[in-house]
Amino acid sequence: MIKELIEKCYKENIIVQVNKRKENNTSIEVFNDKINAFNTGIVYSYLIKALINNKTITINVENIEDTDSIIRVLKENIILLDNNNVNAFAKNEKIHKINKKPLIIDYNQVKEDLISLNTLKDEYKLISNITLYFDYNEEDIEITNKDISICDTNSYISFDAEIIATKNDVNYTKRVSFNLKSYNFNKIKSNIIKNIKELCSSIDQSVCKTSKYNIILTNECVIKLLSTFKGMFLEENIYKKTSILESYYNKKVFSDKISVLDEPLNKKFITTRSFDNEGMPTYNKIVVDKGVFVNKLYNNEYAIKNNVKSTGNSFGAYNLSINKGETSFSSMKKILNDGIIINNLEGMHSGVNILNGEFSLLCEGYIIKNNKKVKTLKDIIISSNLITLFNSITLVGSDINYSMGLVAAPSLMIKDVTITGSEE
Amino acid sequence: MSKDLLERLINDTLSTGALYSELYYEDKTTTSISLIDKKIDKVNTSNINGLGIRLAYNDNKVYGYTNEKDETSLFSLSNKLKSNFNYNNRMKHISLTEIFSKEKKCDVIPNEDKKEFLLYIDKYIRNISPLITQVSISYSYSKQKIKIAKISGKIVNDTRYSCVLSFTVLTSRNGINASSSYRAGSNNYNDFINKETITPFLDKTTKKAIENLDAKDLAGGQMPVILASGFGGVIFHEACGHAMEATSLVKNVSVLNNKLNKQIASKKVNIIDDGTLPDKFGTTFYDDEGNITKRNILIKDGILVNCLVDELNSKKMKMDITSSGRRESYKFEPTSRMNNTFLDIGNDNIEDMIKSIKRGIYATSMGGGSVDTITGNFNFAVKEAYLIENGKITVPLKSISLIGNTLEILNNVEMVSNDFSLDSGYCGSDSGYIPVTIGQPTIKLSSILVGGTLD
Repeated sequence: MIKELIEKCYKENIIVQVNKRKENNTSIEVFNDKINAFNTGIVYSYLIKALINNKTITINVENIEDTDSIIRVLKENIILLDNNNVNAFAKNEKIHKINKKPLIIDYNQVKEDLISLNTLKDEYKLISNITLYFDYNEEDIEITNKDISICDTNSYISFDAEIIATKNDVNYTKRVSFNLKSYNFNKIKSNIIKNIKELCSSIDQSVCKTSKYNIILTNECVIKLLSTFKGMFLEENIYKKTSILESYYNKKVFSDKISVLDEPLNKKFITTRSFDNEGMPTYNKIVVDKGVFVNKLYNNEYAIKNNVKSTGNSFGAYNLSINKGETSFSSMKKILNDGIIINNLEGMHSGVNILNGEFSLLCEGYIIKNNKKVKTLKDIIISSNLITLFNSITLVGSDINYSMGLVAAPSLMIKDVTITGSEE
Repeated sequence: MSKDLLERLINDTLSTGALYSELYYEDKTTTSISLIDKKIDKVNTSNINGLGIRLAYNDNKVYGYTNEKDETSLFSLSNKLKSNFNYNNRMKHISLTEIFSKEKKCDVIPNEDKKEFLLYIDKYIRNISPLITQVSISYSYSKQKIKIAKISGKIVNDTRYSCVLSFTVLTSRNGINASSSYRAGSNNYNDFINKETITPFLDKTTKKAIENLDAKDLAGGQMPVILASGFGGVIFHEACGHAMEATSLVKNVSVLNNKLNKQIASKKVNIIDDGTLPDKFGTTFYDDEGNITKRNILIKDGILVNCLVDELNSKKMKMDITSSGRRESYKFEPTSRMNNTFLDIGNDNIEDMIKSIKRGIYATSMGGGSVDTITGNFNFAVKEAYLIENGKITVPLKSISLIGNTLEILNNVEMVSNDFSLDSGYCGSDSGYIPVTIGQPTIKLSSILVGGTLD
């Protein structure tokens, strides 16, 4: 059907590229010792990109058989468009192919394994409830135009847990989230146990004063922040003045202690992509080199506009990371000596302004003094600006975390960050 | 999808002993038009079209979905799902009868009119001040047709319309950048494409984007806060709305478990969730389980009197359904969610609220938030606010976060005015992102923790 659509469009002077995607998902939710939900589905979708009279128009459909309707909508929508930027489709570019196979999962075994974690409640008496979310994701991508037909696949497991501890009728929670390249129950179990121990040791909470503190932002928090701002490196956003890096190209933007990489082919990440959504080959590159913003990320449209070659980033940054440092997390804590470890950020979808870099977020953490955990904090807010924050880095950890998805980062030690607390 | 196919499919799903089966078919088309840099930059149309099947036998439930709609694929999905059941009960053959919601007219606006309207907004805003560096506008509209086949023998048919208009104004002066945004959603295409009615919002948003260039940092801490009417209601959506959903109550892990018929809030607090308000963004005639939506009083004079209950959880909780089953699309299993949730009016005066505060915040525009329904800890963003000093509004403030706990904050509602309004947004939870409205009159909280960049 894809070739038929391409041919039919060609007869109407419409040049088409079809991005076919098959998504196969199965998820299991276990609440204590019961399977609470078992969901499964397969969905096919088609992103059709068309060039008509030098203008580019897109349409997403789940049914490609009604070619007449697709052509009608493309023609209707193109009339509205003012954007005359030149665009082009991928030709026979050299693509770095990575061999990958879908995972084979024994769901009955997964169910049995997850239910077995309920026994941890016997071992850790404060734990009252454990909810586990197992999610298998498989994605096949196929891009076809008159010159090429290329495909790629990714499969991985995302795992989430919500652990509740109860003391004196008050509930405390710990949320866990990570991805796996293959099913490994021992890894899941050890991660859950680690988080149960952390939760049990952080139940007695107290408040702190509003002040500027030296902090360590754990790798998961750095990943959450960088993920929220990852569009800032795209030339399209810079051109449209919707990136905080608008005036920083080839200038120092962050502390020289950090470099930022975009590595779609780096196998340390959970997934890789050989080509972007426009069929353009991807490659690994430095975006920020020792604090200097050296490379913008381009899709085809903005590459042509700037007379450069696409960087294969039509889907944005893919496998973005901050370089790791030399210092382990435990050594960082010793060096911090007196400060706050921030180990969770909440409200990323609302408390962040990606247009000017400001953020104000509910967070969790604990105070350390003389290298010892003094108290777990409740009711604290971290407020800053991304550029200010990333210029105040004093130490970069070696604990780079690749398990969160398309962004990886180590923990960062940062000086003079305002933490609002409720202590009078 | 034909009645005959749905009937054969629902009977097939029940052949291994499941006691509950529901088929949800959806065909939804959305078109979005984006303007930036004074020109229409992108136009996109998307269509989703598929079927979700939910089966249950007491606590044992499964959900599956597909957009391959040939019989082989559909019955293959049915086989996969029903293989999770092996019970002796066999239900009688179910014959389905189609019922339809009242036909709603939604005039189609010509594409050229939409384009002209977006260009008008851009030009109007840019003419206000040379400090404006960028205007981005997005208008999207969708039509969703659904069919829900039920074990009760009904196929519920509904057609839903919705549209969203949003724009962001960026300003810059001496290297300082600021912005202000507006977003509104409605179930009536005609609600926004009107120059006269949109103009006050263009003026207000642009004025705020300019004013934000002078926004000051704040030394945060516990302080009294006034939350303006409309989207200020996000506090109740987050602080108690999610905790009232059966999803967490049924697990007995919600902060509001065992609080039914107990005083949980100040007597000034009356919270209602109403899925019937005409044309509002969170309104549907049927919920996504095929039940006619209604007005549900949740908190009356501070007492928790009801919760949001969907079909499957109503059986476990032994409570009546509140027609609150909602989902983003056929790819999601429905669960109890909010529709249009708001705090009812009171009779306090806004001037009196301001005068009563020695040092505090007047929050005029709120962003989204999130909540941990287990602990009741919630947060939400304040995009635009002013400092109140000695009973007077003084300087504009940079964006801040407010955090609190359900049971504390509900009791901190000290004053409630009567300038009620509703605002629209999207709510993300277990069954995906759904359109909702939230609302309230202006209220005063005696104390809440406010984040700031000064120490």
